[in-house]
Amino acid sequence: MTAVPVAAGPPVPTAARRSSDSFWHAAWYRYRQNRLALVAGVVAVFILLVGILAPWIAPHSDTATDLSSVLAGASWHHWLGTDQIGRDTLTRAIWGDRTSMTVAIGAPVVGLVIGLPLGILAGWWGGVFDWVTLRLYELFQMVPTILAALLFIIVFGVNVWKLALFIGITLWVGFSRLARAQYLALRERDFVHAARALGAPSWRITLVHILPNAVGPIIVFFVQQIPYVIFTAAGFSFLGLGIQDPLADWGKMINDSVTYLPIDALLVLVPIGCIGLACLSFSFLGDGLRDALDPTSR
Amino acid sequence: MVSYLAQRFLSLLFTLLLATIAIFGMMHAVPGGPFTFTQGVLSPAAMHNIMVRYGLAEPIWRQYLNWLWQLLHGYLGIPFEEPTMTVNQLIASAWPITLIVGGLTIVLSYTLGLFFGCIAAIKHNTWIDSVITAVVSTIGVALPNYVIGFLMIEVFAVRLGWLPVGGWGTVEDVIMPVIAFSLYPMALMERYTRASTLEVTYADYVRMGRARGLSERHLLWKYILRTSLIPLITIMGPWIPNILTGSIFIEATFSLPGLGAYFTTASLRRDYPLIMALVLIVAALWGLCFILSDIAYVLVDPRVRLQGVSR
Repeated sequence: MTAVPVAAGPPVPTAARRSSDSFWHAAWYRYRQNRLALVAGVVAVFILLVGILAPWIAPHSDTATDLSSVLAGASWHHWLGTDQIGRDTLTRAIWGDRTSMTVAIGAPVVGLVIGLPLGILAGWWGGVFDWVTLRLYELFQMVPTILAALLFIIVFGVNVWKLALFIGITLWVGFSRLARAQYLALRERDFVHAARALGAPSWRITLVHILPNAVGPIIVFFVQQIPYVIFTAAGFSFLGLGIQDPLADWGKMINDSVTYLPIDALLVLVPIGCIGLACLSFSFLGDGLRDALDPTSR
Repeated sequence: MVSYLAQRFLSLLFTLLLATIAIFGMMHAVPGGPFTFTQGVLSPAAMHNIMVRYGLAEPIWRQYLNWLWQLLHGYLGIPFEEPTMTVNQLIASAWPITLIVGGLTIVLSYTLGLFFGCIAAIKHNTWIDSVITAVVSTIGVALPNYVIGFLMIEVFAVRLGWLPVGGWGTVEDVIMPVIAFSLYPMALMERYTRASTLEVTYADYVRMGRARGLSERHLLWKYILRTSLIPLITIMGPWIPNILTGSIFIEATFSLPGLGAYFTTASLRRDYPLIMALVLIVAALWGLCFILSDIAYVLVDPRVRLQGVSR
């Protein structure tokens, strides 16, 4: 009886840290074995870096128009040609990367911020709260995600941050379901019972003890959403419902130049190649992470 | 069975009601209206006449009840962008195109997906399996369908000139949209078929059958495929409304005059009646297919009872 308050503090965190250290080591080892995932990871990091460094590496100004060389085609001065008002295609693609990556990372963050707390509460508390959350899932499942995002755009208008927000809102159910399932599975485990027996408060058990154990699948899910977001965001811009001038965006580049396809195919092929490459690399990165972090899922 | 179905349908109706109220409220909550920009120069009196004409001068709850009342009579209102037609006529002219493309897409993607999935599972851990899985997961899952669509346009329409670039009217117009649209559901189908077939392949009763000396063909058709296809109903059933209401992106890529185009234009012009009608169609189909796939599940698999299905 006297020993209990003494044991309540330090031992648990250190043990948790040591075990998670070896978990991340093992995961990194598994990830390295997968050559495709390794290449995809490098490409994904490259794409992110290009987006971050866009203002410094773009060869021209992203908004400068050069009406003397409109639809000029590839040349030494404009490596990938120019668009219908003489903007450098390579520069637009690099700046479009920045826009795409903003939305591609921002939207899952929004979904995570909304979905994770709700899922944790539903999985941990259960009862009425769980019931309400489940009904919310059903309600949100009734409307297809792309349609829901479209409705938000209609109602509230759009810019880069709003686009990330709207697509992110449609992602919350997935994050929430995942977190709920994780917490349902983990809450009866011995280490949770032990923590509770030692008198740890609920918030401490859910955040300090369970969350590190649930974080692997959540990271995997996060990365797996990225290609979907790139696809959707570029799709909206391609329809003219997303990013607006003068901002550059891959989807909008397609929209602007699709009529000039017979004159200069590069105008469409460049943004398409960018979208394709980004989707592929993040998709394979996600698959690799799944195999590395969540070995039981296969 | 009947009470279960009644319960499901009632909850579907309730959800639809909630969803339409939410969307109606949201659309009207935003400042400005559908005519603020197009007819903004008109005098206030003329503007008021337009608002009265389209029933926009009344309070919102009244407008919603009017809309609901019209809906119960099968009338969806007048679209703002084409005042000479009704929404019903507009949808009647656009949806068949979407339905044709969607129907062909379902047939093509489900049969091919099933076929490739079975092949990959039967030839598990051979080069055939890895090629199919690699190609499917690359082209089908990871690449957006409009990206593939534009590549096809560039190659087959612009360079080779074999097929039309887009539009609607001839039989050739269907080919590229259907193929581009099929790839993603086909890939899904392939993945699930492969996974569920593999699961059954190593089941004890199959091994038992093999021990009893049943032929491999008999085992495959009677024992493996029949059981492995059951999960596909619940997984792929809900996809059907998705395909039937069309892909906005595919229709834009190939300039098909289907429902998808109206989603875009109605959104841009804040065409309330048209948006409501489109949302209603999608949500209702979506919910119906969920219910139908649950029923089909029960009919096909004798191990499942309806009481157990309540998720």
